Amino acid sequence: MYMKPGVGVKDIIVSDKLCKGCYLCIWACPWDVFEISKERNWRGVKKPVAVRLDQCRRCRLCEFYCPDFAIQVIIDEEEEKMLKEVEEKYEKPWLPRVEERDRIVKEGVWWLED
Amino acid sequence: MFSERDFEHYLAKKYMRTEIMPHAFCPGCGLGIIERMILMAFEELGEEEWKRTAFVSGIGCSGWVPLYFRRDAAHTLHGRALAFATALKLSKPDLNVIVVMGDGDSMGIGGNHLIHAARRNVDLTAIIATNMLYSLTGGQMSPTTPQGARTNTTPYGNIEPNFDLMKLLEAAGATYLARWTTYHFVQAKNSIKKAIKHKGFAAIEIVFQCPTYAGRYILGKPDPRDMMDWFKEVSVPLGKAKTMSPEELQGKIVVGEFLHRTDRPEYTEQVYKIIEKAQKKGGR
Repeated sequence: MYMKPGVGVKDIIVSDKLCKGCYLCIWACPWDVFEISKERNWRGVKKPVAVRLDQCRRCRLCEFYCPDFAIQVIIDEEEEKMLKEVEEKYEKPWLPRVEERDRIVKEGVWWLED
Repeated sequence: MFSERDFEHYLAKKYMRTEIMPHAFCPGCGLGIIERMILMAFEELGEEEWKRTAFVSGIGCSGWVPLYFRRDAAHTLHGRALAFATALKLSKPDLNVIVVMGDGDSMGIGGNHLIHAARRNVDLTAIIATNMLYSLTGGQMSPTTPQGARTNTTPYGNIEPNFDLMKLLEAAGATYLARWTTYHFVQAKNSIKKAIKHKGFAAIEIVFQCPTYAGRYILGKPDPRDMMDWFKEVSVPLGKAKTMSPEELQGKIVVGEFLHRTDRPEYTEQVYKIIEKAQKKGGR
């Protein structure tokens, strides 16, 4: 559910005041969402900008590795709610059957012996 | 919803003094990541744990870490953070005392305090941020500088072998030991969480990137991104390290949870037992 690209993410904000331009967010992002902006801001930093928001999977690795608390992934709550509903309705009922299958596979193919 | 001008991170808004941010660290410094590890550990532990926490820090770049938290913090003498924290813990036994120290602070100047705090098994959480040199004063050699590294005070290469903190503290009698790098974000956060709950001396060594001095002089990698990649290459998990020979482990960082024992008595409890005993019958 969370691996769908571009779903449920509203925006990725990079602060003008806090960003120092170490680009660890670009290093951390596995989906290549960011790009370095061409102009310097008022602090003299070429900020990273989230250009490919449709590629964002909300893993939030950019947030984790930012040392300056300058970045935040803003998640669309309505969409999140909808996705959770879908999960509750369509994916939850299948979970016990998946677990049962895993258990049987783990124990071995028992029906072959009969 | 948010505008870029008055943006504050949700963790920063909740736990930090945002009026004095951005903080004083260099661009790409790993101490900010260590701050976030501590805050996320408390976010998962809950409000109550946060409200009975006090921070103690030594001198050095790492001494700045707790000063950005909206909690009581003591910025003590160089190397004497653990001595201060022991007294704090003894006077208020139900306080969570978290000590943030650097490698020079804990092993260089305060080495004696470190091993004796571990020997007494005081209920402290020591987060030891290692960047392999003294970075606040301009990149001098420290006890964790790798052998052969070029720093400002060892321009022809360091001839001293470096400390293995985990073995030192295990011998001294600490009861929880872990070592991670800033690359292992989630593991380090879980270790901090475990150490705060643990009763006894818990030490977590976090190797972090210092692009300004360690990056430029020791590794030749002035970009924090390259340093993070280097952590990924060099770190070896503990289980794998046990099967490797000492020659293969040369220049590697062994990461993992080294020790977790509960059989040693805790210092603060014993002090209060002695006080009770002495008050009963004149000490007899």
